[in-house]
Amino acid sequence: MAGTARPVPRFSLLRTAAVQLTLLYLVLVAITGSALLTLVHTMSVGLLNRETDESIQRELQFLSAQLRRGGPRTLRHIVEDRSYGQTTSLYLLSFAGQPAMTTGNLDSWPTVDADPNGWVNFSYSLPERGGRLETRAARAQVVLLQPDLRILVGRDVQGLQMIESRYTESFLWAGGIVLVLGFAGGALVARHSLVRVNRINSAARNVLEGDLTQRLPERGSGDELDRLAGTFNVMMERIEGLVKNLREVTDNIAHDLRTPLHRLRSGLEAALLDANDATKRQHALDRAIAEADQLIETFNGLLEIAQLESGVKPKFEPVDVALLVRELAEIYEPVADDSGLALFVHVEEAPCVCFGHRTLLAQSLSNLLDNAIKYSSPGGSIRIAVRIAPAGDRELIIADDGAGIPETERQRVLDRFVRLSSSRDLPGSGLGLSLVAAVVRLHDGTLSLEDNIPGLRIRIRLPGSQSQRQPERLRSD
Amino acid sequence: MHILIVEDDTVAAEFLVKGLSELGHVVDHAADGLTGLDRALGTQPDALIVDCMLPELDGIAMVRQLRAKKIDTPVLFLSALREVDHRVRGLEAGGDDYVVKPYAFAEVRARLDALVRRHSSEVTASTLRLSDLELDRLKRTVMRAGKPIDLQPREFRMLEFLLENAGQVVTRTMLLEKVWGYHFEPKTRVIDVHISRLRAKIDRGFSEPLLQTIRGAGYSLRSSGTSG
Repeated sequence: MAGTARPVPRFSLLRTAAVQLTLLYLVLVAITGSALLTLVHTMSVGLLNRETDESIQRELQFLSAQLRRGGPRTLRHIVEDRSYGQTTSLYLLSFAGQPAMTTGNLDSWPTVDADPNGWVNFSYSLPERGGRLETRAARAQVVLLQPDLRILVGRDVQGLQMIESRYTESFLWAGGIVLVLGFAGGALVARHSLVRVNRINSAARNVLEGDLTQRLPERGSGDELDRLAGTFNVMMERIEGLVKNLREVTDNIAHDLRTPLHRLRSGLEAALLDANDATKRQHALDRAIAEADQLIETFNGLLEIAQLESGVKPKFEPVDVALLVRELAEIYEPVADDSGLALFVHVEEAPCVCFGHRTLLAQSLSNLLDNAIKYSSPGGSIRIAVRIAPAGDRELIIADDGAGIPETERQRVLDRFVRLSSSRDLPGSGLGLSLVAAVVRLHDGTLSLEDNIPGLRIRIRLPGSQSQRQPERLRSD
Repeated sequence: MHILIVEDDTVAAEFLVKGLSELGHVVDHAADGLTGLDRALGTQPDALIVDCMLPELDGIAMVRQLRAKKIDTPVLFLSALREVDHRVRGLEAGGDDYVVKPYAFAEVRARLDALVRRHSSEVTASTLRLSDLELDRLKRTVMRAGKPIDLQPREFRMLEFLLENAGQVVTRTMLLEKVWGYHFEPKTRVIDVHISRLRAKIDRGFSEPLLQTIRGAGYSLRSSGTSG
């Protein structure tokens, strides 16, 4: 069995669902985290940055208005006035006209090029207490207010930069924590479900190795994996049953066919020996044909049952079970009469329709009546009844007062579709009841053997035609 | 009668050719569906025995083509397939009857006879007669030597079928099919019991027994005065 199995795909970490699930989880967490942090950034640092830019612009507008009103000289005074003792605002004014001048609290123009709107980020030096120079970050706008007048208005943004770098640092920390937690969480979630998937996988592998008794634990939680486990178990139940059935059928074939084949062969050999005695030879050949017929009957029975159990449904049609029973009773009444048995039929006039296969149902009934007659003693009686059970099922009862079947064997005969050893020596293929069981199963019905005290009572329930058609009608609505 | 057997299993075909030739029929054999179709069209046999599974052209397709050409020669299908619905497919394709392998020669012979007879006498007489036995289909009465015989409806139908095939053998399976409309192999005893009841009614008290049991085959309604 294991030889025919496909090779197990090579293990690749990236291809495992666990890793893929974890990564997916991680990506989701990362996207959510980034979105959140970006929002916080926009709301805090971004706001402060915009504020800085706006105040610079406002100031430039003010200075520009002063220039228009008072000319370069007034502007110079204002700039000098504002630069004095300032640490957060930065100014640099350069006038190329008459008289040329440069003023402000910045020593030199930034070495960095400004963007098209005049914005520039640069660093400048500020003498610290103790005489050392401190390099600080600044942001400014450089504007030509007149062709010969260039002005820079800026702000010291060292503080903002500190906030920003703090922010970046915490962003990284938060990102790291989110990633670690996300990975752990993802792994946990993946592991949780994949441990169970792996359990199913290893159980399936065990089945491949030949262990058909393998089953999975069901938690009863009803989630997808639990349902998968349930389906797996039902499937294994069925496979185990089929294999067991196959084994039994094989055993039965071995027993039921080998014996008559042997008898057939010996009979033909005997006919050869009796070649000179025409009567004896004729007799031997007749016996051989009878043996062959018996073989064919058994063989057909086995095949038919196998075919019924193969799961392929023959064409069903509405069948009136009441009519069927009346007709078969009519066929069997004289047979029962000849055996000294009374046949009672309790069937109502009204049709009792089920959805099924007429010939198979008739053959099953015929087998049951054959059995009932075969196992009853003269003077006994056989009762057949058809009625509609409370649930709408069609119920068929065939009861005799013959020898019956011992309770322990009763279950066995239905469970495994085997012949009882006690019936092997009686005439007939002995597959009659097995065929009935297979036909009832094909019709989704139930078959039970009960004690008729004395005798055997067989109860068959077939789904009524209503319950068969209801789902179809609901679907089309 | 000219019979064409289309069967690829040579042993099975030989067996049929031998058996039917011994009965005085002219028997022809084709081993595949295309040859079979050719012969059936060329030699115009009185009846065809066709295996369902054939090389080149399967039996069912072959018969469908024959029927499409408006040829209504009776066809008896042979099949190794015992599938529940297979019989229906054969009959839908235009076959007239169906025998499952392995079969008894008597079954093939009896069914073939019944087919050919039914085919050649399409008009059904209202009164069927054999020797001094008379069955009136319209009045639904049976008389023997002028004395009325009281039969149950099924017994009447059984006698009617036997009379339709008077002189020929009718098997138990055929009886279950034609009288009760069930297609499965009856246990031997079931039909025997009904026959013996019918026999008691039509033969008891009369000098010539008409309803005979043919060992290993079935039953035949025949009179020594008529040739069977």
